[in-house]
Amino acid sequence: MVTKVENKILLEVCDLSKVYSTNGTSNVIFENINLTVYENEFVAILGHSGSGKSTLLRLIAGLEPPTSGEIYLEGRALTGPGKDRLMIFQNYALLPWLSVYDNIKLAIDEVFPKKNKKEKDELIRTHIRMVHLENALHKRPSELSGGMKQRVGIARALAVQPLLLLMDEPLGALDPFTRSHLQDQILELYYKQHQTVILVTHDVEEALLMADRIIVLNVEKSAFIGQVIDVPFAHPRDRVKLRADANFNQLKNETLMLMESYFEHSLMRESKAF
Amino acid sequence: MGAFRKIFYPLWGFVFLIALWWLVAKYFTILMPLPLDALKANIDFILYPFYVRGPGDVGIGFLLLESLRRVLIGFILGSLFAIPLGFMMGLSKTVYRIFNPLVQVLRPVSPVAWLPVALAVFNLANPSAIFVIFITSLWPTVINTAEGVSSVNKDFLNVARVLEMPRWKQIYKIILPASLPYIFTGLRISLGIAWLVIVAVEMLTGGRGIGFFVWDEWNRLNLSSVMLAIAVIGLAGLVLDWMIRKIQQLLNFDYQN
Repeated sequence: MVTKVENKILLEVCDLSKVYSTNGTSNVIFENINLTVYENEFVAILGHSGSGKSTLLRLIAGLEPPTSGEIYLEGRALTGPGKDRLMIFQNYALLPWLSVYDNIKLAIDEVFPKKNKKEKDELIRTHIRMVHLENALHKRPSELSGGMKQRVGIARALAVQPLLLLMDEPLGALDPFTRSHLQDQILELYYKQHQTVILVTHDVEEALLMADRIIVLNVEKSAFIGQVIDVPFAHPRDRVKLRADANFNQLKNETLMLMESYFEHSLMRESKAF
Repeated sequence: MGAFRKIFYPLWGFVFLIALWWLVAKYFTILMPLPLDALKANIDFILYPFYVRGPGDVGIGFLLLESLRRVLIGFILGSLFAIPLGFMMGLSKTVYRIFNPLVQVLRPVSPVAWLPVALAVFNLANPSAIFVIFITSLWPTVINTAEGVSSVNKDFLNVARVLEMPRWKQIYKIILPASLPYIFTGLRISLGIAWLVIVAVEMLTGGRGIGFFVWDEWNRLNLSSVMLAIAVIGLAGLVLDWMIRKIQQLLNFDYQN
């Protein structure tokens, strides 16, 4: 799984730019971003806060329109949000008045209106089992821990069977141990489902552990792709073994140094601005 | 210890109030009865709340029911009007811009000020009282509903958008349940104020009701009955508020967003 070149192109981002204009002043988030994602690939977008990585993901999700440029999914130009690209949100976005079961049912009802009650029920239960939440079936989100909530979010997104799974810092609000545990679970699901994933994160180890390819964003006047890192480790990956692997640690150190140099750039830019 | 705190501590509050009453009645005015005398004078009212001894002489329970009926009719009519209006104000900036200034100007007006207007239109005391309660019930519900609808978590709506849920479905599957806690807050405030206002309205309109009872008994210098009425009004208000909270719990919409 080192290269995906032989695979089919799933997503193409062409010359994408995003500019926010308020009261005559325009704020360029990024310009001319080009990106290709292949089927069954796990891509991470790595960047510091304010690097526009979440905005890029929201544009791919169709939640915001691009200022210029085009996004193609399986060759079709995208114009808005769609159930072919499901998003997993950092703050889970579970509806607090619905149980775990009903939160997933809401998505299923919307995407598979023709399925009968029994088929829907089976689909919901399968995906709840997949994230090991059988015991929380009828609990409300307020009764769940952060990690459990995000597992519901993941189950909801997978149940819809999207072409592309978009994760916007999905583990950002969790403690380190829950985080590792969920990383393993996401990887496990990725192997089972052959799902194409784009993960936005600022965590270098998370990106290296999970992704086949890392898009590192750098910011000067606006954000751009600073570097693309191919992650050469074979799937399925084992966090414990990789941590003992010299190559993994070297790549991790190089990536951290790259991120630090980008961070210093952004600090210099800020100090000039003031 | 828990039960002790729950029962005896609140009791001290009431003991303090009755002591104050006793003090005022004993040393400051000859019109006020002493607490124990008031209780004796009210025994008939307390034991027989639902007697009828003539067209103008009925038990305090009946008077209370008359007032409750006015409040509930006015409150329900007001809510049926206020919830849709607030909902539209929350959904549409245009509707908000049209109605918000109106709401802000009328909200601080004591609802009792509408009574002459109502009397001029309806020419009858009872519909006029109900109309004043209708007006009373509007503002808190309108404002809270609009606030709830416009502050629905953007991520909830993003989930709906990603699932390609049509707008009309978003309204009843996402926006309505998400704003229900706000709507109920509005309803609770509305009903609370309506119960305050009905006493004043009935003092002015006369007829059967707990508010007119208070004024009538004052005109007979019968302060014992007034003190009883105050207790009854307070307890009834407590029950009204408890009922709305129960409805919210039964509907299972008692959550934080």
